[in-house]
Amino acid sequence: MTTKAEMVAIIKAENLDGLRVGNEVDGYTQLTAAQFDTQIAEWAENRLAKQALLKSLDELKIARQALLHKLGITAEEAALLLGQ
Amino acid sequence: MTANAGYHSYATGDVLTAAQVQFNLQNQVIMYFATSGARTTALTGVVVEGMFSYIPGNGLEYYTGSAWTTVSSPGDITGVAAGIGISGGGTSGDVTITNSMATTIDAKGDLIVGTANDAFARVAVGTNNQTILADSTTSPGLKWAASPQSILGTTGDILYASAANTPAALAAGTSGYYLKSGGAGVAPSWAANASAMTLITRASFSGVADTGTTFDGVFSSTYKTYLIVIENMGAVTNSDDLYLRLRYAGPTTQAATYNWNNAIILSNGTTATAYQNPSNWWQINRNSADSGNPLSGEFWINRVGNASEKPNMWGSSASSSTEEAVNFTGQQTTARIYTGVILSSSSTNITGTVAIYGLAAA
Repeated sequence: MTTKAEMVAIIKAENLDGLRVGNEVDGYTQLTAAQFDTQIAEWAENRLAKQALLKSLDELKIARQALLHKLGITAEEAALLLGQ
Repeated sequence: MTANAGYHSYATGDVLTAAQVQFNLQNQVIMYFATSGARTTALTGVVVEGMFSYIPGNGLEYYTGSAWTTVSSPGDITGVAAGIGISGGGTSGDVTITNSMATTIDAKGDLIVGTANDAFARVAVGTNNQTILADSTTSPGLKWAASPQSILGTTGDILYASAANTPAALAAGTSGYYLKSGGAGVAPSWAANASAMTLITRASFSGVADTGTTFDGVFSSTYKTYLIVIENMGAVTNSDDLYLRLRYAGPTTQAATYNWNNAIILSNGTTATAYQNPSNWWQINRNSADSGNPLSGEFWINRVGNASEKPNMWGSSASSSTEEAVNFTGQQTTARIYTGVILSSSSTNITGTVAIYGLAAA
């Protein structure tokens, strides 16, 4: 399990030139060091949350398949049974 | 002695010779003949330049050396009177007449106009681009006045009547605006098309953590409903989700109290859902896209300009990267006057082009 500190390090490594905001017409503004750290911390939390979500979905999928196997029916038969 | 011997001075007691009578007298008097033929007969072989003759019907004639020519009658004119528009004249000697209209003109562009029966006056030239108008209240009956050329000062100006018989210029309006009638007696004006969407802003951005101030100040009292068109947008990887948050005075990003749900149609035709209540953003697309396979979508948002109303947003998007279609609905449960939006992804930079249109309230 990746820790937040590890994830922060990963994302910082992906953004060695820092971060910027803005657009092509008005120009871009480089984030300050403090803003950079705040943004990276938020991204790290989001990425960890996404990983946790995907992990739970995978676990749910495995559990569903195990249940179907135990019942001896296919996913389509289960959907039919549930009226889906 | 020549045929016309010219002037000869005679002394007292001189006896005239036949030659003198012929050449000094007869050849130099005005000879009378009944007809031109009689003259020819009489003068054949002796006619010379300078002879005069009088023939009834022909009048006084002189011989030029090759033909008989009628003598004009310069003494017929006994006087020249200056008529209307003319000055000078006289009854003897050389006389000069002058065109008074011509001398009334003082400068280039001056006009001479009639002021009454047989009367005229000068109207000085107007300024550049003016035009001449009839005006019975002025002495000459004409006046210089503003013309379309003098009123229209620059590209985009429109000519209209600011009062009866009074042309005026309406300066070019805001780009995209249309000419709006104010009704009878009211000057026209420029206005947004009440029945159409107006592009408020369109911006492209590349490799940004968020769009920052790009879409601040896009919500105003001019519109009630807005269309956010994502022409293309992608994060660094397609595992990221795409976020939209509201901004308000400051501008400050609204950091919480978002509700949202995504109805997702997967590439295999099955469906999935994602939702969060409350959230710190609106997730408008799951696994949004990467910049090489960008997301496209349209989102409507309203109730953003009223301090007591809670904004709603709804829309749909498609990702060529994940081949998912996402229907989005969202609510912001904090009521306040919002002024713009900020776009970002869940954990990487974004690149794209986004346009925001306003749907006129009227």
